[in-house]
Amino acid sequence: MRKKLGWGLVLLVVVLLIPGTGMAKESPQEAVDSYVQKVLQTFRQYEGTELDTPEKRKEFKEKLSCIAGEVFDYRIMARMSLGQYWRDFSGEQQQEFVQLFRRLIETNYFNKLLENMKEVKAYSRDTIVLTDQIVFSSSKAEVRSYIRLQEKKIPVNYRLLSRSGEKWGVYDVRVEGVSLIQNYRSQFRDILNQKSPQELLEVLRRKVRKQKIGQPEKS
Amino acid sequence: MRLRLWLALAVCLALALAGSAWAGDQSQKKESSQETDLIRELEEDFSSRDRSAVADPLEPYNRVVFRFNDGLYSYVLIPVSNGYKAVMPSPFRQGMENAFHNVRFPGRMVNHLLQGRPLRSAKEVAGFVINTLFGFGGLLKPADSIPGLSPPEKDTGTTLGTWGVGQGVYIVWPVLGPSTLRSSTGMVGDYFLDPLFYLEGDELGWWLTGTENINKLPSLMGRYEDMKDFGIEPYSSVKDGYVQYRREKVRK
Repeated sequence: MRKKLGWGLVLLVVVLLIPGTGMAKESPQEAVDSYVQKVLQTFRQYEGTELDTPEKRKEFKEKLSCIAGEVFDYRIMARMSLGQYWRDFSGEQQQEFVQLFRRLIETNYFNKLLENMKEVKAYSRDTIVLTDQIVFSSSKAEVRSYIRLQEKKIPVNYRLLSRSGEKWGVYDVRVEGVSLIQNYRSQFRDILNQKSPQELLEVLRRKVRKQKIGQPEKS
Repeated sequence: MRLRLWLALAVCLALALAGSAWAGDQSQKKESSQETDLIRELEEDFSSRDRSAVADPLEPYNRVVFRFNDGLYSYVLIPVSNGYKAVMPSPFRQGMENAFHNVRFPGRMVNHLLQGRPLRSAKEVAGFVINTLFGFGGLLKPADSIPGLSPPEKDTGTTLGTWGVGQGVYIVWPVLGPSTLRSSTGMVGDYFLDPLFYLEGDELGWWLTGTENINKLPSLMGRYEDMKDFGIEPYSSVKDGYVQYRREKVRK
């Protein structure tokens, strides 16, 4: 009896030591799902309050930013959107670029969500539906979903990566087949063909400064 | 004999390189080497998609038209669209869009056939019958709630795509906006497949199409404004967005 228990303990220790078996890792779909649920919950929480004061808007934005930061891998997103030009940036410039890129995406993304909040009355469970996941390898996967807006179904696919068995992070979002990162890549390429990294950073700084949450930029 | 010598040299060099690369890997932390592999893989994914971007030899002309369109959208069409939105509640707009979509089924049906998808063709016919009979002449789309009865939308441009015709050069049309040579050719085909242009009375088809497009303005302009908000270089953003969108439409 004791012997059996001993072997059982050994086995348990061995199982715990093998990476990835001890704790069941979240699947890509679970990772996106928990993110989506948290966003919807935050929206429900703020529904009715008009987000009319700047403090309210700031609080709302920070909450979303926090939720998104858990699952979006902004460093990889920023790096991929620069492509070959990443290496032309100094370490300091790279860091600033990642920060600005994050703010650019967040502000636009949250504004878009806010806009839709007015259109779609209640964010219910079936507004955003995750359909399936494709795991390409131990480090790359895609989660497919659609957003239901009135009668339209808009397909939204998330691309995820996982570094050496760590948790999954989103590095690209494809809306109706249009990759966000690919799109930024083409824009940054056009700018960096003629301008220096420093000048691109200045363009981004100006763009980010102009945007405010809840007040889409009017131009 | 000489060839052999070269071969031997090449093998030695390859081995040496592999050896040094291996040694380099060993000296690095295992994690970071895995990370560089992953980054290289992603970079390869993205750059292979970059390579299938369309050529833009007309860029100087396109940019002028783009700027013209931008002014037209901002100062004319977006105000018109907002006014229309104010007087036409969303369900009415949606109903009208549905009705136009419904009567245009022949174009989609023919293109499914041309792409060798008879089943999708049959689904278009079934959808048309169901929506016309049970959706008040197509104002509602009851067929959409039947699983598997809404095939992806296909137009003549996508047919050319499935036949292996490349997208061709990028063209920005006044008013209409982004297009490619292939999509523009496809639009001619779509015109001939459009039942509205076979109605009695020469101008009726154009009037109806005009009405349809005004009705669609809110969603079209909304999409344009989104692109402008997200982008920092609107010309490239719209070009890339359009090309990616069309490529996906062919692929589906």
